[in-house]
Amino acid sequence: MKNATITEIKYVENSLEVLNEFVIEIDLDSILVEEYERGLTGDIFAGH
Amino acid sequence: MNNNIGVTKKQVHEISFADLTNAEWAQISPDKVIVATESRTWLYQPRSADDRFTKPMKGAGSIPTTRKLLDGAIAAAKYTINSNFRPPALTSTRWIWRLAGAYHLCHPTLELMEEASVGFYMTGCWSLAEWAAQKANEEQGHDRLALRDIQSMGYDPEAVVKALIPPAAVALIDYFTRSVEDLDPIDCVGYSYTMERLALGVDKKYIQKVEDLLVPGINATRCLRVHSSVGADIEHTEETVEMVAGLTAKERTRIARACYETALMCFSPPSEGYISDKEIQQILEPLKITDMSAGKS
Repeated sequence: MKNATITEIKYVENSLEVLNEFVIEIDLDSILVEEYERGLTGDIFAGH
Repeated sequence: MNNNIGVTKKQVHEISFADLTNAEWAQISPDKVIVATESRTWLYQPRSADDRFTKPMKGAGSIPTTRKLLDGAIAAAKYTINSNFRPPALTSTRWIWRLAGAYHLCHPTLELMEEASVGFYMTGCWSLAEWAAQKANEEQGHDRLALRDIQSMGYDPEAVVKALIPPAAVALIDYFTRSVEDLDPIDCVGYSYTMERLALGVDKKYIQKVEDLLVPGINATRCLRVHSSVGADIEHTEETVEMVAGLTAKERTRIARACYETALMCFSPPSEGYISDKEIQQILEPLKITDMSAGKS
């Protein structure tokens, strides 16, 4: 059990390094503010 | 991965170990993974098959993290398209085009959601069956709002929606229909969430902007109001997230991918280019209601 825990932490730390190198943070709300300034690129308004 | 991502990479704040506790993630395309926590979302390019985030997510969902996962999948579509194309400026003429699109998006929803409910029921997915049945009920009559809006603008609504069929609406309904007809209709959850979530970008200011384009006294924003942050879509998206958070990791992954695929269509410019106001006017000209009192609904 102890070994498994250590392995898991290493795993996450490795992932963390990779994430910090190859990732961008995204935020939908800020994208939508920009999109609605001139309308959705698809020239529709969303709904269903 | 798209060049746009490389450009924006510098904006990332350092990710801490604590950030990844209870993270949810989903591979939405071969070169894109969404990683989400309660408060942050990242778009990530997998580097190898051993990468933690290329392996299927296994844990349980939580409402705030699942919300970020689905929103992140929608946002990722915008980065993928990375287009500077924008529709022509909104005018009262183009508003009729948008209303026709709204009609085509709303009209098949009742029938398709009822069909999806049956499909979920047949596969033993009770919570999804109940969700789809509720959606069918909630969305009922929204197509008629679009027709009333068109009529208010002085045009024969039935004739207008026959004549104006925006390509984006066709692509979206085709995706929705194929999702529902699948043996497992779960992609329709991602479709529905995306359409309602994007509608939340419409606020009072945007509605006022549309109304300012219209002749005073014309009420042609009924359909828009319903599909906005002042309508019921806030509640609807919350209900959907709550339901999705309770699903398996495999189901949440598939829904996130469907969100991405749906958003790609919303964020894509039409391949044949945008229809001009002049072309719309030419189509609309013979569809005017001659008895003006008919347009006062």
